[in-house]
Amino acid sequence: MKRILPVLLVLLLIVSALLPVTGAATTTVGSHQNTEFSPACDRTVSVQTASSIASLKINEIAGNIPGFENWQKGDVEFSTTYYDLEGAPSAYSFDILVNGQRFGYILISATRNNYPILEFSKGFTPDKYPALMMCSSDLANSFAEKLELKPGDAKLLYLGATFYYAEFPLTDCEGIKQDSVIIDLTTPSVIDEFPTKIPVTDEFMRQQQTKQNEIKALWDALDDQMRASGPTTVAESATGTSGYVNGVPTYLWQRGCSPTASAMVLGYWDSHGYPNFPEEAPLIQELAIAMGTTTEGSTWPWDIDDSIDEVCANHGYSSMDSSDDAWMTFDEVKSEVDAQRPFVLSMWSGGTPVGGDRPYGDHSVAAAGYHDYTEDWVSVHDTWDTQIHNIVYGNWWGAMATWVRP
Amino acid sequence: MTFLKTDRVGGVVIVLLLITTGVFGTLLLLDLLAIGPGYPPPEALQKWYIPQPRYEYAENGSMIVNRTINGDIVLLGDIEEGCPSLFPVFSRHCNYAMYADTGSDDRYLVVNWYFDDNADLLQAEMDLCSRLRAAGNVSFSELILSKEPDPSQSGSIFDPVAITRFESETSSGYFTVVEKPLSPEHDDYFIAYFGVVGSAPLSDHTAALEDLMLRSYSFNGARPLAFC
Repeated sequence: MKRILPVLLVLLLIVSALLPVTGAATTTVGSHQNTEFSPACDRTVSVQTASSIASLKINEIAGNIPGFENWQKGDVEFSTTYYDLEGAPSAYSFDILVNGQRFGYILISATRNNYPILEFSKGFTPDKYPALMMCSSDLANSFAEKLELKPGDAKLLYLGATFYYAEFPLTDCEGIKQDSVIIDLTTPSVIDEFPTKIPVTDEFMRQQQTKQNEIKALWDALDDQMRASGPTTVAESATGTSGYVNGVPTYLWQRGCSPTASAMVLGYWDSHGYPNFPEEAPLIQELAIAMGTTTEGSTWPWDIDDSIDEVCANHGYSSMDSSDDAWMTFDEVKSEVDAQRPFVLSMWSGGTPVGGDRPYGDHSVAAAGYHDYTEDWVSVHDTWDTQIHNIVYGNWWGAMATWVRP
Repeated sequence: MTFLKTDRVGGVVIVLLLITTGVFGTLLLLDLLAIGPGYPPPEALQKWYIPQPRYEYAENGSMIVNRTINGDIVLLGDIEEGCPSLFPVFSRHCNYAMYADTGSDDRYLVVNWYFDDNADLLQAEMDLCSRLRAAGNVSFSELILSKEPDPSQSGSIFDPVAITRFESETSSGYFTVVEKPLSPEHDDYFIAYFGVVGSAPLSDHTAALEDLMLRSYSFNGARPLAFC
């Protein structure tokens, strides 16, 4: 079963990754047809517009994200156009240059059907690593040889958060395109087939509509900012509401992400009126046992709340009440943080944190804050270091909050 | 009669098939919906044993970095990528950080080499040992990292850590090797160095170095450098 699971998971990931990029083009069924986002409307963003957005956003990032302060003095330089499976531009990457030196990149959507800011990082996109590109090229060559064809120049694809691919056309001896092969740049490996049909249900349509409304609101806000386009508006855009629970410890990963994240939440309560909890390591161990966390570190998320209650009761705090919420809203995140109560956030296929290089995947973190700017961010302690990271609210396939309330 | 018997067998087969599908589906669902392990990536593991600063938000919403590690010991600057010039690059996953004792102005260095392959670790240990022997004195030792007693914890409060003691004109300190400290099922290997910068008697700095080690990750099962 373990062999089948990764394949199924990859398929699910690909489907979820495709939604933002191709969803509008594929989900036109019966009475649900969404004319506002139909492919008939030209919703393409030009490189010039994307460049202006990138310039505007790097200032906002510099003012809000620790470690990116030097982007304030940065210039943006167009680097690469990425495409979707239909061949339409899906994203543009821009290098950030400070005094002529490269300090990272920002990825802007090439279509208004997706979120305006797709990624930014101090690192590189996968196609900028020569070793990965060489390996992809070798894979394409081997694939082509089997078909007695020759691979041509690669076209770079971006199909959603962290899903980077290279598509090589395969031509015959007369130079006529006969086929193509797509290589996953992050693995790298040959992608045999992409699912072309996504099951359309009412719930799916509702989620898509909500998502598209969010995307539209973000683009509208961005249009307003661009129209005002002065340095002062950048400062205004950086304002918004934010909240944070100070005093939540930052534990590094032990035994599994769910027990570690839960221990951070209880560690906070240990220094806020509930001092009987043990130290970091034994607390994590006790939680892992209660949660039935596997030796690999996986946890059944619906066990998290009961296990926290059990551990609390073990130390004399039977009044502590934990509960799962698989339908967590951003307003609930805000009200929980404003009430100074950190909580456990468990994500399925969690995306890349703001400014990060790697997606979270299936991961539990301790949530301790929020930023309500043009984008909604949740501030988390992610068990990988002691920094406070931010993830865009909704940048996951699914998420469940475990509220821990005294 | 035969027809009825075949019909009954068919029914049983269908029920068994349904049960198998149900069990398989449930297991699949359980596996797909399980969270974790959320394992740290190499970029995080390359600074795993380096004591990190703490981050908090100020009233005005700005981020505060608390660089105090313990008492007078503070982190100087940031955790740097790559190896310090004192030591060779044995692994592409190498980070280091400098610390200062604000009372005495002594400088301390912590280096973390991360490997995801046991053979690479052994090769690095062999190379490191020959270089250390050429540069200074190398010996085996053991440290007792003492902690404040915790009444809720049973068992020993002292954790002996086996280390390789290194003394030279440029830096003196402790090397230790930790294998698979996060999970026995995951290939993670670390060499960590906790040392004082410059020519200084190591015994004068044991307390500070132990403080740094206590602010690090678990040294459970740590061993000295092989081949030393």
